[in-house]
Amino acid sequence: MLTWLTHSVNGLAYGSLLFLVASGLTITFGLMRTVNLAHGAFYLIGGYLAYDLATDGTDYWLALLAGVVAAAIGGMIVERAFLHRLAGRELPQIVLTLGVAYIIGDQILANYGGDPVAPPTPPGLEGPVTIGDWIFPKFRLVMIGVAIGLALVVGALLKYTPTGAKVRAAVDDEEIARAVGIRVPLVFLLVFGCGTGLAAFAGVWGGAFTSLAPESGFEVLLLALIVVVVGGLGSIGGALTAAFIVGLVDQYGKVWFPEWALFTLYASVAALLAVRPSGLFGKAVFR
Amino acid sequence: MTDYAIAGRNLTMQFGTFRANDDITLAVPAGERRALIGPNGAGKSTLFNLLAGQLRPTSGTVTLLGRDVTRVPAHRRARLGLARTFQLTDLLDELTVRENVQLTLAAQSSAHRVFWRPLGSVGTLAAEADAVLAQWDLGDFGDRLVRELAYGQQRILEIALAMSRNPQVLLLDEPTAGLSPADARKLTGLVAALPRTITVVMIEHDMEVAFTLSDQVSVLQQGRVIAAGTPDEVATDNRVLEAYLGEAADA
Amino acid sequence: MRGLSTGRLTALAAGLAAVAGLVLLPFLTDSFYTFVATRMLLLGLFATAYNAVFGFGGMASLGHAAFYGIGGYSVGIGVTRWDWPPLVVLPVAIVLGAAAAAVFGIMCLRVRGIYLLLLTLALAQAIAGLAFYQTEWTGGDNGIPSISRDGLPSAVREGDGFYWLSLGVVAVCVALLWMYQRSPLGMSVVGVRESEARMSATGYRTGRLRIIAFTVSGAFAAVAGVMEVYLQGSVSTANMHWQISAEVLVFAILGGARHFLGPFLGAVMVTGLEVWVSTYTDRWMTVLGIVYIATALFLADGVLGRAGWAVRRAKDLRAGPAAAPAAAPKDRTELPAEAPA
Repeated sequence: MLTWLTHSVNGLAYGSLLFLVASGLTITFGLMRTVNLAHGAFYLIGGYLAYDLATDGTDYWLALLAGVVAAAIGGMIVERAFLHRLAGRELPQIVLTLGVAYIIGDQILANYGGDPVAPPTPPGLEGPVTIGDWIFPKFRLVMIGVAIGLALVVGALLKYTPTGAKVRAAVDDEEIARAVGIRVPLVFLLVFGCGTGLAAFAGVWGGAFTSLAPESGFEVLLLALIVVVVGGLGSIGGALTAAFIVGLVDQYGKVWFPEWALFTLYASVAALLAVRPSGLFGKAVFR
Repeated sequence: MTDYAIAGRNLTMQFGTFRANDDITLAVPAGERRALIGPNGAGKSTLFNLLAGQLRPTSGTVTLLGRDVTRVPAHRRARLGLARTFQLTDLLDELTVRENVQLTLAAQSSAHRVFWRPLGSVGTLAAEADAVLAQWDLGDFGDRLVRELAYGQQRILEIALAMSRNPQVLLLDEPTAGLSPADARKLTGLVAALPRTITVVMIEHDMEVAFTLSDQVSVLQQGRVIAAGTPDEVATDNRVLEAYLGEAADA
Repeated sequence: MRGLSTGRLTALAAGLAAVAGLVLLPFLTDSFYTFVATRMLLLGLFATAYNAVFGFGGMASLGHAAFYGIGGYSVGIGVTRWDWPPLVVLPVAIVLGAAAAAVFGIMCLRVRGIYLLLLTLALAQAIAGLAFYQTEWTGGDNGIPSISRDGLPSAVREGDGFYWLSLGVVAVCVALLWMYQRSPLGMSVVGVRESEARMSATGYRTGRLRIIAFTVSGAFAAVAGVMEVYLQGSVSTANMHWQISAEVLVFAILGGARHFLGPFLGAVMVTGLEVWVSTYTDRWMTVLGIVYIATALFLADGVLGRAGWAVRRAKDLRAGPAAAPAAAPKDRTELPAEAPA
């Protein structure tokens, strides 16, 4: 019974990590309709930079902040220099961001080598919590809370502040957005920076959870993409739900039928997309 | 019953909360020229899509040459003898004019299943296609990509493609829309000259064209047929005048 | 019309020279470059097969590593378990690749654009998941090492001989794809790319045509995967990695997806660049990343698309100054700017 609980909470914690990664994607991909396959690379930038600074003795929270800011700036550079030229052209966006991901991944490999590294667990969150007979890492429990909190915050930002409306206006009809005085390039730039900054935050925390290696950028990217699409493009609540489902399916799969783990995960996602391309909570998207 | 070439009965098409077609009945006898007119958003194109099979109605039935085709997909209705053009020309832009015709003809026979010989060398496709091009004065443009053609030529090509399949029922969606007056006259002439064995249903915004070409006119407004009759009857119908004047007043 | 014009003679001569060069290549270079050339041929075939779905079918798949990998594992499992000869391996691989691709096509009937891309990716990942975790069959992450080529006739087993075998297989496959692409069936797939509504209103079953495009593509992609594993002598999850799907997509875009030989050219260019760059630096992935970025920004029509555009413009210019587009003088003013003052 307790093992079962541990697996479930582990699944939810992994799902929370996926949501942290996916939250940035929901914004850039779901809202801006910009496909960023370098999202995982920004996850790595955050994680490796924080790891580097923290092991050099920098204060943990400062290291975290540095990682997030660096990735946000990096993301804005990519958006400004390249991506904004490819607005609405998904295929070139994919190729371009994949190229960016290759460069970042390769440079990380050159500087840090291929062995896994792990940024430290946030101070105060080390060690286990004990509830009766049940023992579980505190950090992972907190991660679930952070994911839910982040979902609420991002959701509220998009729903109740002008920023959300501006982004949606800029995406839906750039001409009109411009006409009513929204500075579309600036909005896109900032939103993209937020997206990659969130990826870096996920990298720092996720790195402490699962550790980092140059190729782990793509692993989380694929799962996060699934979360975003299964949840329905642009739906934060959908992404959170999907992240929990994917986390649980992944966890149970690995425990109960390891030979079929990845297959069941991806095959069920594929089956869902085949019959319901708009995802679980998305609106109709036939174009 | 079977005298009707194409008929929609009690057709309703619901998109979410919007009812594009509301209990429309339209029965066109064989050989007739029927024009559909009505203000923008009256549901004319939706009705076409229901008749041709691009859409399935929420309720109601469609019969083609006496056969219930409500659940028959577009490609099978096409094989039963229905041809249509599209409101915005929808051709195979990156293929040549000749290839457009050849592909259309190939769908008529087993030629479309051939996968080892070039399109132009299968059976008599090449000769037939060239005959179609010559017949419609497109012979000089055979090797041009469709997207390089002038708009008027594209519209003529659409009708040529539809006619090349020897359809029994032809649906023309705004054949003269966007054409210069000269091109529009040419196209009107071509449609008027179509053999009487073919039943033609057309959506047409230009009243003059609609009234010249048609035997019967059906007027749609807000998803319903509000009037039907000969061009003369319709032209003097108060409801029709109201619908059009109302639109003019709104605009 | 019947006689040979100068243009046709030139084309014929160039074609003959190319064929002669390809056949004689092992005599002109050392074994390393023969190996490289073999890889180019096989990746070129893979890219050409991919383009039946991508460039001609208008469907951007990100799942073709699955069919390539299925071909590869057919060799690995067939040869190491049951000692299958190539004449058994190849048909099995073709059938499996085609069947998997047909499933992809069926699953993708309702999706377009980015959704099709993600769905094919998910499907390919599901198959890669099998390769990864069904360790008893696939050897898991390590894959299947030391796959023997003993089943091949000794004349084509090694080096130059294997190159000629690959050349023959690739030539036959590319010729078949060429015939298919020009045929009514292949052309109607292009028709679906241009307008599904038009094609179905003309009487075509567009869904079936999309499935056919996938099936053809998957079958030939599997052949490329088979030959690649015979060449390498091993197969692993790397043969199914989704980055292979991305790479073949970039081959097609870079070379020119609207041209039959564009993807082949793209494969040759990237493979050649990899060999060349790798003699100078270990950072090939960084260079590849730059290639991807440049492709996305500047080569949406591919090298052949660009070349075709340049040729057309040159013709326009020769046709007379009046017909020349206004852009021409602007180009000329830019040239002297670089010259020393």
